[in-house]
Amino acid sequence: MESLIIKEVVDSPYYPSVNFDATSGVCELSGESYMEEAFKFFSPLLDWLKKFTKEGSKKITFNFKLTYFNTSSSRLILDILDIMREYKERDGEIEVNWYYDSQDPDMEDEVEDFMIESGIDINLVSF
Amino acid sequence: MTKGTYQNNIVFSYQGTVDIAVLTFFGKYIKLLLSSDPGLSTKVYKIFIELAQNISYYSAEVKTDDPHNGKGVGKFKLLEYPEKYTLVAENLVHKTDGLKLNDKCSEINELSFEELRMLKRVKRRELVQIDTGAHIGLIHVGLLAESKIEYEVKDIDTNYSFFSISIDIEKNIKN
Repeated sequence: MESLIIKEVVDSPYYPSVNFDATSGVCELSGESYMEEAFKFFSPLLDWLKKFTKEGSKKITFNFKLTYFNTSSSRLILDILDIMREYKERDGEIEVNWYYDSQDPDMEDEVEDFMIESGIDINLVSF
Repeated sequence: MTKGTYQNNIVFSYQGTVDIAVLTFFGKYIKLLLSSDPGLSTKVYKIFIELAQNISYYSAEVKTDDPHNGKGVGKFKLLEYPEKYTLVAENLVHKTDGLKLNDKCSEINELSFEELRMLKRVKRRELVQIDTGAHIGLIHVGLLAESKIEYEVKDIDTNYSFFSISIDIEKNIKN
């Protein structure tokens, strides 16, 4: 399976960069996410993850490095976490890390809400 | 910018089509303006994007002839006071949407912080994929601001209302 890589574009800071590495199983979303049509952007990411978790049995390390995401994006992040949970329920190994700026006063609550909603543990890593 | 705008504490104001380029431009300016206080900068930035995207998605006044592909028209401004910043967003809405907005804002103001978080989780789970996230954005704004939303829905005519929302962000953020 091919890796999925979308590089950040300076002129379009509302799209996050994507690096889903099919060889290592390390998946990263970085930057900001507040594009107008969130589903259109996230749809291939969700498809890739569904395929990867269906076809393989590798450990997935998902690193979120998002400094800002709007409400529409947050719904699709939840979809990613749901795929992680379903993989875990099928005995897949997952590790989900959320990197956040310690000066962001609200991100810890956001991540805690994602944990409650998705039912999976997320490691908070401040920088 | 006139002398009067300084007297009225306006940092910036904008009126027109609110598209992604406008959001990005003013978002960058907020980050630059408040760079000495990263926590405050992040909070003002997040609230600004949510309010501005609400105009873009839900204003009844759109730039193009196609209401499904047009970008909403509205106004927003950032004001500075000694103890706080205030973000204001205003746009035209269909009268039926105005009634809903009135109810949503009222509900947000009545709930505690933890109740709002729970409401956000429930509403987010209910969102369908094609939805742009209406009203969860307002809940999120209420959570970020940690203060009551000031809002007004004023009837313009039989079809339209004018929606105005104002959010205070204290300069001394509670971490």
